[in-house]
Amino acid sequence: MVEVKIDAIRVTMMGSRAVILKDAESNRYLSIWIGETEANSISVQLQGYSLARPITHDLIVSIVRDMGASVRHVVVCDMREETYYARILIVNRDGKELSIDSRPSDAIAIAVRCDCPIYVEDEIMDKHSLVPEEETATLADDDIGAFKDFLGSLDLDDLDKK
Amino acid sequence: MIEVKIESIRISLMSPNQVIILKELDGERCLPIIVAKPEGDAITFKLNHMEVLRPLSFDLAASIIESLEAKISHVLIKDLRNNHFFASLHFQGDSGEAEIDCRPSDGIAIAVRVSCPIFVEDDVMQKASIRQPGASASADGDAVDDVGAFNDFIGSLDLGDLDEDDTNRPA
Repeated sequence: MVEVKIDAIRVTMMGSRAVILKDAESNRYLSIWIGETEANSISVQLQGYSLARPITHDLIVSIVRDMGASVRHVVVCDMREETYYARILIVNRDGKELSIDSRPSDAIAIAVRCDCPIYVEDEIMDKHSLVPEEETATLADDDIGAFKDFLGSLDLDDLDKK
Repeated sequence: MIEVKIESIRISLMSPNQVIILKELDGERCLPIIVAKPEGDAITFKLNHMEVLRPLSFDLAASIIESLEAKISHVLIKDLRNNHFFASLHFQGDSGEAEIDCRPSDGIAIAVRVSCPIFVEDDVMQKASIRQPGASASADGDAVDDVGAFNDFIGSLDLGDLDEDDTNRPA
């Protein structure tokens, strides 16, 4: 399992949301489409907003705590037919581990409220993560030749006269 | 506490919000509660036994409740302050009954999944209930009164004109 951090939540021009998970140890990113409600739920928690009323994920976390249980971690464990699957690992009051099927969005919304780690199975990360292209090196003179020509063509002495 | 059932969930054409109508079991009073679309949908899906490919947030809540062997006894709509309803989830904890503060929509979406009763506090029902919306009029004398305005309107029409004035006819 690879530990990941939430790098960003992105909104496309069409209104779809994606959560971008970054490998904590390397420069790999995994993008998962999520619903608007879940995206908002993750955002408000990460940004530390306090809401007037508890929202659904706050309620779920309250239930877990009031039952004397705790969330150990969440893991994005599978991807089938374009859909990611996650599991939430809960330890009950007797110390027994329970693994509960969840959408990644719900699992992440719960993880940010419990301050517990988020993992992605190695296989998923190997197959579906993206590595951003290297930033282009400092611009060579040739690349900005056209801009230099333009600068050279300006008659800056005129500036004061006008 | 008054036990209620979900009478209907209504959508508005003007806003994305939905209205849940809770009707008392032993009476005609109804409590309308405005909820957001995701919560309204989550309640509708469950009541209509619609299959979802992946668990919704409330399905997750229900499976966590089941896994932790939490016994939810009921959901209570307990208060109305500043135009907001407040609810609570009641369950049997280690040391007697425990309750968790929640929004009514979340409480109801969970209630329909764990099959527990929904209650409304008496004073909330008194403050905010309405008579059943859209109840069909009974076929007694009152019914004629109810449509009095319509009768007046019908009476005011000059139907003799219909044949003579072709310009008012729909094309």
